[in-house]
Amino acid sequence: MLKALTLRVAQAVLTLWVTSVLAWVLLLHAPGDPARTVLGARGIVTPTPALLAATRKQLGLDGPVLPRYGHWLWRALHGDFGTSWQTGRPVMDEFATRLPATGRLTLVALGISVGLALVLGLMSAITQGRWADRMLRAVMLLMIVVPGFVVGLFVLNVLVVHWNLGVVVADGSWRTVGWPAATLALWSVGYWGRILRGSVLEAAGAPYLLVSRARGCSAPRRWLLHVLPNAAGPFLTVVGLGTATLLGGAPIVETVYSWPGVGEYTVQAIGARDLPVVVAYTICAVGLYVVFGLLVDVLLAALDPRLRRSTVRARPRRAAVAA
Amino acid sequence: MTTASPTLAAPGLGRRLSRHPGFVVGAGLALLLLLLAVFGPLLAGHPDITHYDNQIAAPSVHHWLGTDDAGRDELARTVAGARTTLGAAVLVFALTTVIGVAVGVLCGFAGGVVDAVLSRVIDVLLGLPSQVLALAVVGVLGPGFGHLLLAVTVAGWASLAKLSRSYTLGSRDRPDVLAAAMAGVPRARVVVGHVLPGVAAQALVAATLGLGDTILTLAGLSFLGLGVQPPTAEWGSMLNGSRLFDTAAPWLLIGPGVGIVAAVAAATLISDALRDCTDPDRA
Repeated sequence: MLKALTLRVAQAVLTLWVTSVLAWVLLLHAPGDPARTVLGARGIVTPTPALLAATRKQLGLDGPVLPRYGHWLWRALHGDFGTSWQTGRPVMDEFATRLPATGRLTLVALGISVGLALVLGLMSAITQGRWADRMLRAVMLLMIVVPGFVVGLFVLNVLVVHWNLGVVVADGSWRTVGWPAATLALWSVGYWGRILRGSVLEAAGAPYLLVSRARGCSAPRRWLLHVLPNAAGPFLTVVGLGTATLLGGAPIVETVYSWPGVGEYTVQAIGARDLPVVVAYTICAVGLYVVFGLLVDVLLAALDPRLRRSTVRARPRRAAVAA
Repeated sequence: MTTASPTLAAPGLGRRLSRHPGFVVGAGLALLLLLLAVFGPLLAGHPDITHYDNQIAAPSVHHWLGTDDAGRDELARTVAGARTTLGAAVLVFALTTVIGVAVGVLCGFAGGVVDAVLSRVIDVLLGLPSQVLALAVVGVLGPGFGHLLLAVTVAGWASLAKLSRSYTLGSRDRPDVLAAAMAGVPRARVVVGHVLPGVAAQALVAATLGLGDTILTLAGLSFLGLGVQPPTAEWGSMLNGSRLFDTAAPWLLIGPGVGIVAAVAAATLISDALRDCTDPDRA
């Protein structure tokens, strides 16, 4: 167990490091002159060559690549991802300002998703093959095929503006979190529900269930106490990884609602070619994903004695991402 | 990875698929969309003709889906958008499959250092959230159709490479492969003639399973303004463009919105049916 854990931590560190290298390879191929971007943000549209050179030096963009990368890595390890080219403030401060809004959205969306996915997935598995199951499967399918931005635009323009259902003032507060959270939850309810249905049905085929049924175990007891824990692995994995992606800010849904969170900020930064923000966002989002993946693995091993003896992971192939 | 991988070689696959209700609906939708993308632009007119005297007009007999902020016919743009969006999805599908199969077969047959290094790269990529990866690539390189394709391809090839590698390793000891090698057939011909067809079939099934996600990511990034640039008609960027006016013109959501949902639904229905019919455990 300890050996497996060490290996997984080493894997996580390797993943993060490769991500940083990948980000830097991309940076070296990025079009445009950063110095011009920075000066443009300060209102200087036609800078002199001397000014450009000075700005480049100030940004630490002169000199060979490897020492620059080393310097960046050293500071990144201390939680310093440089300053935003737009505002000149530290990138992490900019993120910290927007994290509460993203946190609220994540919490509410997560609550809706876990609750509804459990109910829909379990009910669909219990009624397998009957009309209720068919209806639930169609509903869950619909949830994963309608993208968040289509739902968001429909909500904003038809439900809110034309039918006056609720108000959308995207101020990032608890009061206005309803529509964005519901939009975000739609996809995960469908996806997580489908995952749960599949693993519940797989677990429900086990012989010991026939035995427990023969011995007079009641249906609720059988489904909730025997099948559900055995089917929990893949569900917990997608919920854990989904939480990580949500915490990283769901760029699309946040943008539709102009929700002042981390994702919306990053999309704006991409538009302004504020590359330190984009790189910091990538590293942080991957970091969250890797850490949550690790936590899920530890949790699953704690819950399932079979996993403690191996490094096999109960992870479904498709990563849970917030569409 | 799953223990029993889906395979195209399952007997009677075609018959089972044709009896699968999900597949029939999905394939019908897909056929409709493809016909629309191929022949639609011939009927619906040109997507870029502007009429500034007829901006943001509601749906009418002349413009079934209304007109946008430049007075362009929304139906013509939706039909032209089908070409862009579905074309991009097909391109990504082809690119990820070719790269995935090539790398996977190379790993499986080369072994040694090549396999060790490439396998590590694949594992690391599989540990990354694919949408963050795609966003990072277009985010740093800048918006554009080429960068969009690159981003989604980078985020998508690794799982296919992993699958192809394991299937290649499995087929190395197959009787026909061993017999060919013993008969003195050159190694390259053994790979191309005996191993590649099976691996490619596997990878095609696996790539189809990811097609819905690909369309969602492509349209999503375009919606954020990071993909296809105006004035080219593309569903995601059309929805993005409508954001400024759509409180006044909600009909601008109909064409591209229905298009995206139909495309993703078709891909998801087909992939669900393929999984049902090719999974040996469920057959």
